[in-house]
Amino acid sequence: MGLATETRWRLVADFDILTRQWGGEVVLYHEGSGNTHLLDDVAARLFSLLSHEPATVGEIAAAWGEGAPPRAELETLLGRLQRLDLVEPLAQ
Amino acid sequence: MKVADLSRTQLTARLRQGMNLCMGPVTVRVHSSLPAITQGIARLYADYVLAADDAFVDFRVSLSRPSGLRRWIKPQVAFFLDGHTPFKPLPLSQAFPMLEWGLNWCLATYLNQYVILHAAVLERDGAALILPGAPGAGKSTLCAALTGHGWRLFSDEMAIVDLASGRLVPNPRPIGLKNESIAIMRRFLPAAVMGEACVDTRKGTVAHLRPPADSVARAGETAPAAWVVAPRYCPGGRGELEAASRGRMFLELVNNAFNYSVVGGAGFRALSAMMDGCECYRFEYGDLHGAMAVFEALAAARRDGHG
Repeated sequence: MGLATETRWRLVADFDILTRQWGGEVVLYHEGSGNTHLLDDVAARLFSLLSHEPATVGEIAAAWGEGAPPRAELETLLGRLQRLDLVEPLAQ
Repeated sequence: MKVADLSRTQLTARLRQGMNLCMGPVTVRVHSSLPAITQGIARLYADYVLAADDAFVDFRVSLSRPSGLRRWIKPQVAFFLDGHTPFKPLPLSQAFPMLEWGLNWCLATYLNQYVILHAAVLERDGAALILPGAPGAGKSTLCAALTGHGWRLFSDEMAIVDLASGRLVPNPRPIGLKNESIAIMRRFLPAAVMGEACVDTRKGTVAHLRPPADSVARAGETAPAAWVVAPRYCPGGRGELEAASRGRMFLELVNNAFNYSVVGGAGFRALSAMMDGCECYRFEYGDLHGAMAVFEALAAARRDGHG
């Protein structure tokens, strides 16, 4: 199922997420779930962009600039990060 | 006073009443009338300092034969912590291994002022080497070998990381060897002191190697981590270090931590600070002599400023 491009996404607001970056990889600790995750360079970049301010998929791609993943890939990645309770859609 | 300063009669009497031993970051009171415990402590804890009888004790452990039929028929040994038994009894012949496994359990379960990883740790020139690995990966064998080649033993089983500083804390104790590793170590370190081999344990045949006296004497000296090397014993292994990413190694460490879920964010902060200063590798080895040379080169590179 595709995600509406109008959706604005943000990092989850209810819990702190601790991060550490080494090279292109980022490790995250979710203080609510207690889970630890490893993001590759693409997911880490997406996470970083959303850490500044909420954004739609289009805005994410624009901010990414050259080399931005295709829209479908960004939507899939957002879905994965949502299932990990790292990002959430803003209420319309 | 050290354990070695006691006669066997004195040691037996002390253990019957309860004897306080300094073990790195903890003081443990050991209470037992079992000859195997007395023999094991005399042989493998000889260099340990006795704490005063009125010292603060972190763990009160005792090992004894249960009452009832099992006292005589297929006799067993039970482990108690503060009067409660957290495990099922084992055959009496496994009394000393049970002491070691029980102490490991106490540290991993209750020492939550630290984050504790399933890994061996050694130190050289003020820098700590962490060897994580699942059981059977060969980390205890490698750890034992390194103690005979200039590396100070912190632990063969658990990396104890201080939550505030991220430094590794020593807990040098007898090194547990299993099955083929026992004969390998007898040949590789012929001068090392080894305890009695116990057969038919849940881990196969096990024996323990006495930790070097220097490692025990310096149990109060912590160190920052410089290397995380995940070993894997493999006959014919290339014996070369393969660079690994900090991120992947971090995830492996936390997935094999004893108490990460308890310490939470503090553990994440401590471990990520620890990893900031680490080189990470995987190491598949089939030859111990070659492995020693690899780790010697690793230490030399850091000493010479190239690491």
